[in-house]
Amino acid sequence: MSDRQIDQQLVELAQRGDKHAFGLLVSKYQRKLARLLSRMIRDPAEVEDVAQEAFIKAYRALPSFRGDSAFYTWLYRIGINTAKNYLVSQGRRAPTSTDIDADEAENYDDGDLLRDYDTPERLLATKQIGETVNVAMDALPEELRTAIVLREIEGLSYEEIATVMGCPIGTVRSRIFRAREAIAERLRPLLDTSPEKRW
Amino acid sequence: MKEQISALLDGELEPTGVQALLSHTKKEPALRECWDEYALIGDALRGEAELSSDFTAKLMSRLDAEPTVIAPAASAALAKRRRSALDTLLPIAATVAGVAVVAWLGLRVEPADTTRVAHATTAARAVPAADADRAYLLAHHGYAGAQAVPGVGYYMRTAAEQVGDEVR
Amino acid sequence: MIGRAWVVALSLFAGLAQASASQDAIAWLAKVSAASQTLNYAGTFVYQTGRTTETSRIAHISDATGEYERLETLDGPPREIVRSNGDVRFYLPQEKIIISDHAMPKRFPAWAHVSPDQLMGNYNVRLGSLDRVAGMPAQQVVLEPRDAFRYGHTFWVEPGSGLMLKSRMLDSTGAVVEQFAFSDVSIGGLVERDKVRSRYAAAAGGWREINARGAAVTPEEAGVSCRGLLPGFRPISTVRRQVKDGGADAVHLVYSDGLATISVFVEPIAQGRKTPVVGESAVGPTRIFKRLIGAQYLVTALGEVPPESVRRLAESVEIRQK
Repeated sequence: MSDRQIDQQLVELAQRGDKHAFGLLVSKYQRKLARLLSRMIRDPAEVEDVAQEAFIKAYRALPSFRGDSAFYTWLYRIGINTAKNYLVSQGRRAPTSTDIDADEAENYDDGDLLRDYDTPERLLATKQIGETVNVAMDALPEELRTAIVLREIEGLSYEEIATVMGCPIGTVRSRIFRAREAIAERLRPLLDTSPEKRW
Repeated sequence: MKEQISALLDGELEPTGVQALLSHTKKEPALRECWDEYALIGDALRGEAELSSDFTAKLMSRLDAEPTVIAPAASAALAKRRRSALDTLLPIAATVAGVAVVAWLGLRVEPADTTRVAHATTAARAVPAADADRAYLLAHHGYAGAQAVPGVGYYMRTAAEQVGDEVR
Repeated sequence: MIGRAWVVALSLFAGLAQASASQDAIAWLAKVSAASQTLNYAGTFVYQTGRTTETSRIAHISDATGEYERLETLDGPPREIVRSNGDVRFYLPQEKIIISDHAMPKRFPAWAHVSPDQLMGNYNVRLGSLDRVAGMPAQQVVLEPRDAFRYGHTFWVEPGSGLMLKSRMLDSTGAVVEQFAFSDVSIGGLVERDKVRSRYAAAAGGWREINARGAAVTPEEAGVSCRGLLPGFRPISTVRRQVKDGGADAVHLVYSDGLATISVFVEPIAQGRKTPVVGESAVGPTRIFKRLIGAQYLVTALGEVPPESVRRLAESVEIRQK
């Protein structure tokens, strides 16, 4: 089942009242949404608030989501509108000339954005997670590291990775999983996984 | 099970397994946590924006305050209502716009109401709406009005200035 | 389970009650729009904007053969608009002119993009109190704008039929921008065919007849776009048409926020013509903003929205080099 199909599946579950399914989408897209929003709103705390707002709006609007576009496209559009309204409500003007609009949300692509919104604290937190992930990556056996890099950074499918690495798809799947688990193991102490923070 | 979560996140799980896995995920917080972490790892590797680690938890507690979404499929009657709302909202807009056509009719009667406007917050020069603007008005109102008071006004666009010429 | 959650939530969160109220209000709006097409009704209404007040008579029939409608002004010079299904004729007896066209077919896929969602994103939609209009009970449906780019609206809806008995548009200060209200109306039952037939058709044999039509084009063909859209407004159609007789074709873009509509016209300025006057103006409830792009193009944005909205939309227009 493709990424988009799985998103659609999660949306449908959420539409039938399964809030956890929506939570999975939130987990998956919150940071991409935040990065999009940070092009319009500089302050990271505000970005976070607006991202929350956008997800709430998306949740309320779920009944009308019909899968004409991908979930994330739809979400980004809601995010952009939420950010614009927020800026207006703050008496700030939404960016116009260097604007990002709904059309651009369609083509919103990773990797070409300036990240000039970092505060020292934020940089530190980001750094901590980033560093931990990097350290964990370095410690990975070669074949696990290659597999996860091809997946997460190069965006290859399991089949493509299997071709590149000359191994069965099942092995790719297992390598990526093991890589993730190894990294997650080191990350967990940094994350607040106390019961009350569970959802 | 966690390996399946990993594959699910990558969109690489066989369709037959998805349903069952998702129903497990619904019941087991540990599996959702796992999904959370894997998603975070991917984003960290790509250098995505960082958010508070409890972003999802915060959002989910806010969602508890929301009414549970009821999908179109879950309630046929509601679905029908929604669809009809969706399909028919435009005519309302048009009804209102159609009323605006009447505004034009009124204005023809009393052109004195073609007012000068000075907008306080802009430095733009306020100019009285020229007679020629009627052409735009008619095209605008006619177009918008075409849905509910169908056609009423819609046709006036091209003819407006000719009408204006005749009247003058 | 859901039921209990509702009770708890209702007692704790005002926001929730609001959400459900919005759904109810949206359902009322859907009813209104269905009613506008399917009901038989005949009545007299008063339209006001600024210092202008105009009384008109309207009749609408919908039966197995289609929709028929007639609107006639009762004040000032007579004017009549008659529609028979897709065929629309506008009679101007003083000028001896008929303007005719076909009613707009629903050929724009973008219509489907206007949804309750969009509406609710732009307006707080809720039910108001039960009132009385034209001697009938009337449920108020209130749409409060969520930002300063649109006006507020209140609709009064006859609960049984869904007919809109009154509507009012308010600016941010609460001043009435325009108002429409039936002073008397009969809903349902038999409306005689005569009431939707033109009074002038028989005598209009020698009148000048003007036909008008626009051609739908894709935004790409139009070569015009608005960057940095106005919050909440989405493009719903692009048409190429001659706005002024003998003038060059203009591209007519229409934007909607689910309720309010803004038109943007972009046209080349003919050489040798005097430079158009630019800036702000208004006609009744309609705000207009004009600007030039270079010396070549005139942009005219207008709509029943605050002045800032038409200005921003006009300023965002870009011409794509072909």
